[in-house]
Amino acid sequence: MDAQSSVSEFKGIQPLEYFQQHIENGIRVDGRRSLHDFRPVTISQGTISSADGSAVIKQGNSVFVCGIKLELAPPNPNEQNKGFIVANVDLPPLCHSQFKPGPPSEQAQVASKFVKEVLENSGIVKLEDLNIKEGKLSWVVNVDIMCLNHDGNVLDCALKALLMAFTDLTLPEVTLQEDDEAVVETGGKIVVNNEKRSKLTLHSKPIACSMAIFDEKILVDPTEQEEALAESLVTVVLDANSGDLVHFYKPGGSSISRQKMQECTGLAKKQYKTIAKSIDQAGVVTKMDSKQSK
Amino acid sequence: MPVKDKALELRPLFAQLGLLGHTDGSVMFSLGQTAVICGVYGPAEVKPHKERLEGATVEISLRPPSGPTGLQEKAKEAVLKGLVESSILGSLHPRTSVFVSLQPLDMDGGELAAAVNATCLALMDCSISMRCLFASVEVTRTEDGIILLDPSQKQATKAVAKATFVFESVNQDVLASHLEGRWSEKAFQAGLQAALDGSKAIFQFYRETVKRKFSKELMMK
Repeated sequence: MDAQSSVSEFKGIQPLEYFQQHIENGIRVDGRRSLHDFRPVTISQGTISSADGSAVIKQGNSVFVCGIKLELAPPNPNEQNKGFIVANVDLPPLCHSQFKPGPPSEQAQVASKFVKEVLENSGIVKLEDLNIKEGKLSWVVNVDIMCLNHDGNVLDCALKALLMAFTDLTLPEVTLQEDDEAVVETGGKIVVNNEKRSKLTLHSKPIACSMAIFDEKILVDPTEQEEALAESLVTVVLDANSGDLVHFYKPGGSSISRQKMQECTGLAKKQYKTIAKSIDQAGVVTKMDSKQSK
Repeated sequence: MPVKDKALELRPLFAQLGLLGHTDGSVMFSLGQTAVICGVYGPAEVKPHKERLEGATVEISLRPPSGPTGLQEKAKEAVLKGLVESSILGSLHPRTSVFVSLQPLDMDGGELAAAVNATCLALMDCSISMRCLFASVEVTRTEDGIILLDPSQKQATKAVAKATFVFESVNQDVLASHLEGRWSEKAFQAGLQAALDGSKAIFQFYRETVKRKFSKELMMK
């Protein structure tokens, strides 16, 4: 029996043992040289021409696309000076065999909720900025994040796609005819100038770092296989502008000590600096690698 | 205005075990005015497509006090599922189901914490073997950095950030965490410490509740 076939047999028969031996030697099954490296990230912005803001991000084999569409609507009577953000994460059957057609899976719902919480906690977009005329007209920002290929780390990728789509987003200029009561209902007196567009002010830069804990070791940016075998998953979201903790998401799994929690935050801090820098430089296509951080 | 030492105290705890007749374990738990009923069925029969060879299948159902189930409930269910899966000895009962049903009655701050604590008490009442107990507390931080432990909705109005932590009983390690709002690293550590101290009181409360249950059962015989 040659070496090649015995390795693949070992992998097939004893997946956990195969995985464990990699981790013990400080390397990853997908070829990464360190447990704390993240996979290469490729970002391209403005890929969907019909959307008002869009981005595609590829992190290893995970591919996510985020599109933002704008709509006009009268503001909520209770919050007359605010707009709306509607965010949704979709994990369709085409991204992984574990998802079936029909109503959104539990994982998709949890990811949607997570993205919403990060939007709220970080205050990235002030809802007041989305108001055009108090009590009359506001923007509705529809954010759709879709997974095209699922290879782990849904939360990090979804959040990166969201952030990049927001940086790409431009709002057209809207002029409103004065003293008209039924402006919104009739829609006749609103002039949208699609030629003149302006960027939306972003007040923070939330960057997520997900980690899988396996045998007391922390694996940064886990793949789908690593997520399935891990004892617990932790996602730390930090604001790259202020360094504040925006989210520390740990949904059950095995327990971690406070020391380990600090270690996780420390690792996330190391990662976000590299990512934030690359995002700032993002033109049409940006490539980044964990090697750049060293 | 809460006084400094009062700020780090839990609201009154109340639990009544075994109040539902048809479940295998049940509890009515309240944390101040926040109340929740929890019932557990298990280990029971499992639907064939959910059957697992390596252990019990955990299912959680959390209903809002009114209206249809939304994303918020789904997110809480995901946290509870993770907690129950990691704390029960599921491998003792392969090809079975452990079904936890929760019905919040009144929401007055600390809803997730109350749901987590009720789940743990109901699992205890159900006598399912567990590797650890778990207890949860909510902490909030005001603008000027005051940490409040387990505030009611009214007390939490001034809060700019909230966090819910779940601790296990063996090493007092963190099982789950959930944040709302921004936390600086220092405030996060202070909040975590306050929650840890609070969780000790809850574990003590579990002990007393179970003691009371068994003393009653002994008297009846």
